[in-house]
Amino acid sequence: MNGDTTTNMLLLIIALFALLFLMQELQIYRIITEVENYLGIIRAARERALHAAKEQVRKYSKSLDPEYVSRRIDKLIETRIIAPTSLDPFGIVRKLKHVLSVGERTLESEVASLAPAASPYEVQNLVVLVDIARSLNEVYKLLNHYYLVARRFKSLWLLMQLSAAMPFIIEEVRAVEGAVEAFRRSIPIGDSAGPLVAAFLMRKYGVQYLVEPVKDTIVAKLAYSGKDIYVVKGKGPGGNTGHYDDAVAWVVQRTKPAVIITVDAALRYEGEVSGEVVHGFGVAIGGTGVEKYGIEEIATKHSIPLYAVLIKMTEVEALSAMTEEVYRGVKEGVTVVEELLASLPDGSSAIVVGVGNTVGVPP
Amino acid sequence: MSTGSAPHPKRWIPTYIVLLASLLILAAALALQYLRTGSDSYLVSAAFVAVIAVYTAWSFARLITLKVTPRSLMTLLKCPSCGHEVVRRYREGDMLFSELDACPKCGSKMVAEGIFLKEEKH
Ligand SMILES: [Zn+2]
Repeated sequence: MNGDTTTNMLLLIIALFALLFLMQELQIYRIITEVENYLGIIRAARERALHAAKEQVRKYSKSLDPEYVSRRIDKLIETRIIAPTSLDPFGIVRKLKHVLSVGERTLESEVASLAPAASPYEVQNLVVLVDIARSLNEVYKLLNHYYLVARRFKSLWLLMQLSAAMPFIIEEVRAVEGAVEAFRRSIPIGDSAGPLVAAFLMRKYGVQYLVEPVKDTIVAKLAYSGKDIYVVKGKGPGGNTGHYDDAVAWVVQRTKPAVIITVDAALRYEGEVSGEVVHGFGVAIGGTGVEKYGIEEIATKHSIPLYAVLIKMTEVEALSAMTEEVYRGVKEGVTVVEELLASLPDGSSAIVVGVGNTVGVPP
Repeated sequence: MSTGSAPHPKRWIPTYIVLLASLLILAAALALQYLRTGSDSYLVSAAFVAVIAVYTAWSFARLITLKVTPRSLMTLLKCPSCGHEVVRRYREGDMLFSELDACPKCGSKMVAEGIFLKEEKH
């Protein structure tokens, strides 16, 4: 009788341990499949972006062998930009700018040679499509690497980290993917909010003259009565962001502006409303920081106040075709900039920089 | 070419329906077996399958309550002479600030003032 209970107890304990072990294995298995599913989504996104880029380039490649074009693009998406060393940080921004502009120029000429029938602005959109495929390729390869390492060492810890980070990465991948359609059709994305504000100002007040002092960047002097207003934006409707620092330097060489206003898309937090317009001080330019640095340098040297007008949106909205909410934000942004300009004393001058990708926004 | 957007989660609805139905049939069959034979193992199996069915039903409910608001690309046209505005579906080749359709009020060319995604309302 007594022996029977002991055996039962023992069996129960063994069963309990077996169950614990099983649960652990099950959890690893569950996380592995989860990470695999996420990786599958990212891989599919990469394939779609690559396919779209190839398809679109082939439209303009005339008599070039499609196989050759395809192979060239496969090579292009593997190219890397290597950031300069920060061991000796003096002058690093200048070096970064140099590396980036060489990379940009090379990619553009490569794509142009593959698509001889494309106009300059179509080439820019093709470059962006190739760039999207490149960034998705990079994300996929990095995550796949971590996944394979985690699997090889059966590291639950690494797997958990991966699966915890995945939803955020997927959100970003979706955002980048949303851009493919917009660039294929050459229509404004959420990030085009800044250039669109600039374009609305140019259309509303009329343009006295329009120059392109820096490659892909235009400076327009508005026909604004009593004040010299210069509008800086990327040259549309191709998908580029322009070089605002050099353009601002060009204007500052000619006049001393009372204020530099940067208009840009800003990331909104969960719970905030898309298209909301907020004020700020400083230079609102994201990305590598090269242009932000340049404008801050100029402004500090000449002690020019820096104002920022920010239009809030999510990351997905920033990269996909512009939503109605953001469009309304753009309209409001125009009013806000107009109020700022109206508050300036007569005879003064100002620079308005429309920051962002100017895809689908002429000129 | 592909639409470029992620696959729609609602494409799983048929799979869920089939899964849920087969689970329910299985549970019912097991319960019936229990009633016929009185064997406890049938009851345990039936309860087990029922738990899985409830879990499936719960995920299914979550899936169908998932709010996906379809948005479609629209072009906002404005007449420069009379100010009349029209929002219509985007057509391939529409370009911002280009002259597109004739104004229904005064007949002059309307200009594309905006291209954006708008929530569909029925
Ligand atoms: Zn009219």
